[in-house]
Amino acid sequence: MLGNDNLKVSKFCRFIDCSEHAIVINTLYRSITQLDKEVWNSCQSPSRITKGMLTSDELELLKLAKVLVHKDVDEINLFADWLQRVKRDTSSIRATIALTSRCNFNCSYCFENGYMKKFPSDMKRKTASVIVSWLKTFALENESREIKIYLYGGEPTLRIDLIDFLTRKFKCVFRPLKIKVEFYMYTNGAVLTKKLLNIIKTHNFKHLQITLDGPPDIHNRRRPFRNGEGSFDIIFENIRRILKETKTRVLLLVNFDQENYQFIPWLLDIFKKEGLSENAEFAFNPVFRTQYNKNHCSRFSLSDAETYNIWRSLYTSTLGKELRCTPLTIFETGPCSFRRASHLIFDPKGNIYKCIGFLGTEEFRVGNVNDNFFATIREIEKQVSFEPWDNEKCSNCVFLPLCLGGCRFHSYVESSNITDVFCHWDLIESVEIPLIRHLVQSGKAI
Amino acid sequence: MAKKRKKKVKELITIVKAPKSLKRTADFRADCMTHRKCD
Repeated sequence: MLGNDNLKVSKFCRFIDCSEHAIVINTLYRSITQLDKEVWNSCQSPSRITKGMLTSDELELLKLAKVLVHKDVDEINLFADWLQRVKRDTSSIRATIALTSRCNFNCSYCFENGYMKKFPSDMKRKTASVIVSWLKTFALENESREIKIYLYGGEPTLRIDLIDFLTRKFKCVFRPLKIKVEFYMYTNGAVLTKKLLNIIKTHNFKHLQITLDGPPDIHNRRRPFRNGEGSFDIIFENIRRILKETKTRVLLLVNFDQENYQFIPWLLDIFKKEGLSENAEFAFNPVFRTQYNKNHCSRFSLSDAETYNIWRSLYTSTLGKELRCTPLTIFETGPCSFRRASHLIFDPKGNIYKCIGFLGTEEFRVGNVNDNFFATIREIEKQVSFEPWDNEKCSNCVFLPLCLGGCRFHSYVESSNITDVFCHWDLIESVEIPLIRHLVQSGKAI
Repeated sequence: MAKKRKKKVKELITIVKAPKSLKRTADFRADCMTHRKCD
């Protein structure tokens, strides 16, 4: 049995002091442990843990919780091995397919404007077919067991013909291979023809991500149709139909900034009041400033501190109303698509990227579905292999397994290259830690 | 030497969320911190 001298507090443990007790989170193992003040007082300084201040039962439980680990464990190596496994796990493919770069909306903060203006295009049926074949090759080469298809744009519902074609084609190609197929869609929610509703039901779409930015007047100002008309009423009615007539979940994304954050609680209340919360989940996103939405952002951007305060209170008030949020915290989740070999984004011309943010940015294109397959795989590997966290500051950071050196797209927007670290310390400290404290203290599942 | 406690060990230390296995990569679903698009 390991004695006290053979143990150390994990380098990935963050202690959170609360009034009644303390909480310890391990950011690598994603464990959360609550310590009574009596035990907390014995180990407030990590060195006291290993100096005989705890009983053997207490030590065993702390080891189980990954608060304590063997002193000889190289935790950076452990983290690096885990990251490599996640990066190269190809058992599940995630393919995001942009059917068109056109959109029927004229959102004031759209960050994709530049791409759409530079490359207005629609996917040809032939390209869609080649994408399916390419993914079949990828799945067979990698012995994948499932494929998740995310339909994207521009606005994908402008191409219901392609949605129909692709859903049938994917099932026809992948089912005989015994590879599970699931469908998802990112849509503004304004188009829901009988045909589309039927497709969603027939192919059992898992979820649709739809954006509503607040009450009708606020939403309509931010997200009108191209002709200037408001979209709220149509979208709300379509959401109602999807929730009432299908088993598909609706993920309600709310993009927030100075213009609308005060009005978001109205939206939460109306969903509850209308009885629409059962298969609906909320997510909140601060409007992200790029070169394409400077006009809007110069008027309505929030400071980082304001963003974190508001983001935190949006999550806690949503939970307080007994509504669901997803993801609840980044504790539930792992490395993003950019870092995963089996997560790919396809534009209307069949070009392949590793991040939605990089759609249309030539220097980050890893290939095209008509290129040599293995040459593209080598390019994917190059981007996936990149490790911005391999520096002293990141290696000593307790949040390393959550942050990984930060978002590559964010890094590119800030400094025009993807090699710089983009530190998420403030975000995690200001939003995720208080949220975890709140969830533990209110007894909610994490 | 460890003090004699008034409470039982499971009252003193509660595992609220058990550690994930680092081998089960499917338990770490993808999340985008910028665009908040998650599996």
